[in-house]
Amino acid sequence: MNKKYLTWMLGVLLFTNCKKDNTKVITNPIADTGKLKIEFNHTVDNLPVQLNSNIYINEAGNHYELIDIMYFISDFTLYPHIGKPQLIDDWTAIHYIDIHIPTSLYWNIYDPIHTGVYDSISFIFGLNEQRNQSFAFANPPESNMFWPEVLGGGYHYMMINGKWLNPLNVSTPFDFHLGIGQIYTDTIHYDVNTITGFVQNYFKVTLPLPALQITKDNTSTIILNMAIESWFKTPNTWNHNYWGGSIMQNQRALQTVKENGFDVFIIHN
Amino acid sequence: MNLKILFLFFIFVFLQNISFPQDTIIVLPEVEIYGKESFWINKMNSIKPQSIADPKTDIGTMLKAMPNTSGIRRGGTSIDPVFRGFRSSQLLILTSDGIRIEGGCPNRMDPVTSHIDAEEIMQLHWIQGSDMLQYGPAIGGVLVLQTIEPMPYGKWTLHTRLKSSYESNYNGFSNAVSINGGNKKFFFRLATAYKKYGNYTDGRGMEVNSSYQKDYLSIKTGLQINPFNTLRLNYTRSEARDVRFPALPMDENSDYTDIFNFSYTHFSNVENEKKEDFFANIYHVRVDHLMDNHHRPQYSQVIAPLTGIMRASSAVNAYTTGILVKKSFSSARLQGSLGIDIEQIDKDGYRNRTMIMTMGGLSTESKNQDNLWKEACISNAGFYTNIKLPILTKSLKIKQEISVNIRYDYHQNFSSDTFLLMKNETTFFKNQTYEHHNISFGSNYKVVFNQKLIIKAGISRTMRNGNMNELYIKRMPVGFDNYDYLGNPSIKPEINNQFDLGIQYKSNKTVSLALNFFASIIEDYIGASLLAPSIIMQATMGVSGVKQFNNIGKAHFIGGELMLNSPEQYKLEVKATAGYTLAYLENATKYIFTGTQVSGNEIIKNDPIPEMPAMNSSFSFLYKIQRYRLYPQLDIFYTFAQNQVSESNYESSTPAYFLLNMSVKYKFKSIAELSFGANNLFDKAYYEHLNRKTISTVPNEKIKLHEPGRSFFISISMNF
Repeated sequence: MNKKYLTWMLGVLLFTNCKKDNTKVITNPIADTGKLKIEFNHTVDNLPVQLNSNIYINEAGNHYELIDIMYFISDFTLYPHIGKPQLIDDWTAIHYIDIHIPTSLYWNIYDPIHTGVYDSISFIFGLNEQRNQSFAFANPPESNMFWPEVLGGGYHYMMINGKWLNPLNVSTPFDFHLGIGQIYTDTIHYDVNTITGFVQNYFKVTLPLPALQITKDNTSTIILNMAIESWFKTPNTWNHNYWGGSIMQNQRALQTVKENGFDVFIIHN
Repeated sequence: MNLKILFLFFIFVFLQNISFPQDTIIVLPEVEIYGKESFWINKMNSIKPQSIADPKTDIGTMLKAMPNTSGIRRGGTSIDPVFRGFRSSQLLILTSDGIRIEGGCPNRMDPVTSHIDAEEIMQLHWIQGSDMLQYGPAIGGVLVLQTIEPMPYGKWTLHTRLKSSYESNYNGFSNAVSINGGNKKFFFRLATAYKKYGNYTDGRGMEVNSSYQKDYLSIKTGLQINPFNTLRLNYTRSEARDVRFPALPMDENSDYTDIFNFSYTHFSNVENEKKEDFFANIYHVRVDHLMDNHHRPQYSQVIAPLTGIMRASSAVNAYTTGILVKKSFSSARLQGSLGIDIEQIDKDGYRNRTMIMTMGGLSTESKNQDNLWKEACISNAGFYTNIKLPILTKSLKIKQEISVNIRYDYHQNFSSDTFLLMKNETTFFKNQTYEHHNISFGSNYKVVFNQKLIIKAGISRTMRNGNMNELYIKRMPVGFDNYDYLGNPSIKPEINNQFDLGIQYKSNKTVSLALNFFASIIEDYIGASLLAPSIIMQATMGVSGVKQFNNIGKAHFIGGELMLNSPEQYKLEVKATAGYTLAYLENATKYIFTGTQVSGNEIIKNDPIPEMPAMNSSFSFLYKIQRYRLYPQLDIFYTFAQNQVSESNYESSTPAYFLLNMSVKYKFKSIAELSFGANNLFDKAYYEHLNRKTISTVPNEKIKLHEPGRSFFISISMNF
């Protein structure tokens, strides 16, 4: 009999609770790779966001404050100077960012990244049709981004919640949300029973990289900054007094938000 | 069917027969014989309910009285047996007629043992090694739930047994009535039971949401064509209602089980002894299981951090149909048996989820339905033979025997799933028909010295295929950890290469000893590996991700059991038991987390297998006061700390604990018996290593389910 078994047999007979040493082997299946970390930053007029302070004025002259900033990015892709683009999806292809959750403000990418120089990145702001399925997220905080089935289902791409001073100088909540839009025959009351179709409002963001160098066994970091004021500025001036507090059922408003999203991100490394 | 009404009916029948019968024939299976017979009739791997003083509410709990046998607790009842660290389908659990039951619940709210009432058990018996092959494809052990069967009487007879019990901690009542009757030709047994248990309070003084209600009905009939040919037709129904499982995401709303079987037995006369010669049985079991989160806070209110109401329910139907045929043979030189067992399991179930939320002034209700099993089917046809060959020796004091067991199984699994899971050319879940041809075999050698010392050694190679969860379950938290699990239709059979050694020494004057040792190398061990969220995301609220059942390499199990008994002729009887299994995986993958994000992985060599029971021991003292028919008993349990925990699964260790139970039995002839006592006398706050963690939105409450605190009990049974 194997000596090892005899040892264990004796152990059992003597009723000793043996402690066995475990050994570890770190696996790194792909040679010449490094790691990438993304940090998410949020600013208004180049200064870090201050929540719950009515200190901001947008392009339309609305005085506003920010309470929540939450959004998804997905299908993050790295474009090397030489070679094929690398889609980040070994572990997850979706990252959720919530300004209240510090751990969500960085993304330690699991995928090994081939060493080399990278010129640009791209990602989907929100979730595409295949990824945006109702009940896909079981747990909060992601599950709290739920977008009602009747309005197209899936999840909010973004929730920016805040308050603005309306023309009566009353602080009024606004839900600057983006998700699947609806087409109604009743465009006055937006009766959900008159919905005839849905509109995907996610969009692709492509950003140049200031020469990102991935080196072997090292972790490089890039900072992805969201300039909040840009949501309200270009190409369309966003006036809270015009659009009101809730826009989930207003595809014209959602389209405007989508168009304004093209320049909200800036990258640093 | 409302079993309460049936229960009342039986009470009525009982009252009709309340006058003492003139006939004094005693129904053997229910008789307890005291005196020279040992009070503790338990052997190393078997247990008879008579030896347990407290109310027998759950077979899983009863089993824990045996060394190296533990159970997984998810609530107040339906403890899922674990023997030598083997669990679920590594163990084959069947009734005395060989009936296998596929439970409905993917979370094993209804393990096989929950479908049979504990009061109907005559004996529970573990079989290990190659002898398992006569019962079916199992690798860790076969548990036979030997139930009380009706027997023919010399003339028309009717006997009634009534039992009522109460347990203080649960405010739990248990009532059972059974009627045996018949004559030489026709005989029957009608049994019904009703249990209603409330929440229990653990040793910390915390109330555990664990209430349940169970009903049971069994109608067993027999026809003795002649002394050598018997037909039996049985029907059993068990119902469970509103069974709370605080360690699972849902509770059992209802579980209805019907078991039908028809059997034929032929006996032959061998040396003036009636022996079973041929046995055939056909059976069908159906389980209708419904669970939901109706009693959880998120069902009716918005619980932070959620922003909506989340309702979930699952309904599952499981059907098991089987045929067994066994032929025994014997000659002057050898004896043995040949048999066939064919079994088909069909399972179908789905999950409904509803999200109710108010957003932007609009209240919406979003619904989703996904299947857990889609008309999944497993069929298995097994053929086996067992041969026992005595070895002739010159010495009359030494007897030797060699036995050989060989089994072939043809296994097929398929489903109507349209679900296909692929990523980058790798297929994770694809529905097609899978077939396996398994050959299991083993041999035992037994030598008996002076009818006192028995040494038995055996080797075996046994195989078992994936079960319904391992093959087809879709995103349910069926494991010990906080993950949804996904089945794997292409999973390979698990193979156990095992060595067994058993030593028994019997003595009427000193101490009797029984020692078992086993060592196993399991190939293609069925475990689970974590899937990336980019492949599939979890569906159950509160879980951390999805794991898929897989063959994860080689596992080693080494352990054994010890039992010491004092001579039974003295007034004081003492018994001690101990059991332990050490199990580890040769290579286990550990995922490294940075915060909540997976950032890499590493391989852990020789990592302990998770959810392995700790070393347990027990010491029992019984003092027989025959003159007054009083039998006080003291049971001491000491369970060691479990520090052999899985690093790759981030498993935490469990502290040791010490328990004391006391009871007194009083027997009034064969007519009545009174038992009373207390379990966990010192109200110890403890939990077993296998207990599952409580599901809660409050992080401090996500701890292992504690065992019940002190509970006083009283039990009265009467025979008429």
